[in-house]
Amino acid sequence: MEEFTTFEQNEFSLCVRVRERLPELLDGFLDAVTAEAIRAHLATCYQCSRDFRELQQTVRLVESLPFVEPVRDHAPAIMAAIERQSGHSFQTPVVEMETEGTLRFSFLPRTTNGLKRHFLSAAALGLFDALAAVA
Amino acid sequence: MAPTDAALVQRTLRGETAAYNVLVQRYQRQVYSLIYRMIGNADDAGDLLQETFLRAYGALASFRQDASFLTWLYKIASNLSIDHMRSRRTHGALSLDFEVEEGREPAADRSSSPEDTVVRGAVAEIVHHAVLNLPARYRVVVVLRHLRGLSIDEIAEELQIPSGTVKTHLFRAREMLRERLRPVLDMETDGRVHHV
Repeated sequence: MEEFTTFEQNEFSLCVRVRERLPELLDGFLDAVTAEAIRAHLATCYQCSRDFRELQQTVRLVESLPFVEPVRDHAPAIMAAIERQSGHSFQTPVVEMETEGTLRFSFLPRTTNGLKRHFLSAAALGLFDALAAVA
Repeated sequence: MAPTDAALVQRTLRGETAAYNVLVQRYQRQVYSLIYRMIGNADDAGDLLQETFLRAYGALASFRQDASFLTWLYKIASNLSIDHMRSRRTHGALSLDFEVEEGREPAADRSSSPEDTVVRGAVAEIVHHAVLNLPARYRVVVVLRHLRGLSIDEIAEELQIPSGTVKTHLFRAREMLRERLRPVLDMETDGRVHHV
């Protein structure tokens, strides 16, 4: 604990000592008695209290910086890189539903022929539905 | 109800690899933001984001199930960002501890990528560039302390430097920021700006 409460003939040197401790006051690193003594000084010293207020404002400005949003979804590239590196085969989930703690995925086929079959079967089903509606 | 991170990790470890995709989707924004604030370059941030999830995937078996997955990702991302800054600035020759001369400012990457435009608002942009223009050793502690919310001791452990050094860097960094943000602080005092 430092003594900040005794009267100092040189007020300037007291202010210098107080300002040295302001970052610690801000971070809560000071013991209760020292913190209280500095707060008492701040209540009477315009310049020191202004310094402390600016320090608080600076931290608040930094902490209130907004999220920086990536403009694209990096997940496909990440999963592809993991697949290349690990040799694991991933399928690309195109539908995801989170229900009662379970995940359900549907997958696009990964091969060209598989994709063709996927879309052909989807087209065939659509055609069947259309014909059924006409009939 | 969405599955917990721990459940998704378990499923990934059991071979349900699509579960990892959910974790990537869930946390890529937060991790990207942290990396971008540290290094200030959108392309490099994208690369480091990918590397972060690759490293995490490779070490998934060592992840403690009772820990926070996001905190674990943040730690990996921070270390990669620090390594990146070291290699970019010094080609690995100097330590982050001593690399920056007093008063010398690294040039921030001011290329206006699409990501840059996401940093909206004049005040936020001023603050962003003030942080980015801090010497690397100061910028790291500011980001870890004020954007990741780590304690002084946690930062010291992560950077492998003494707590006293972390404190000194943090105090000096905030003094530099205070000087550079003076126009904004004056505006706030005058009541012209109330928030970012």
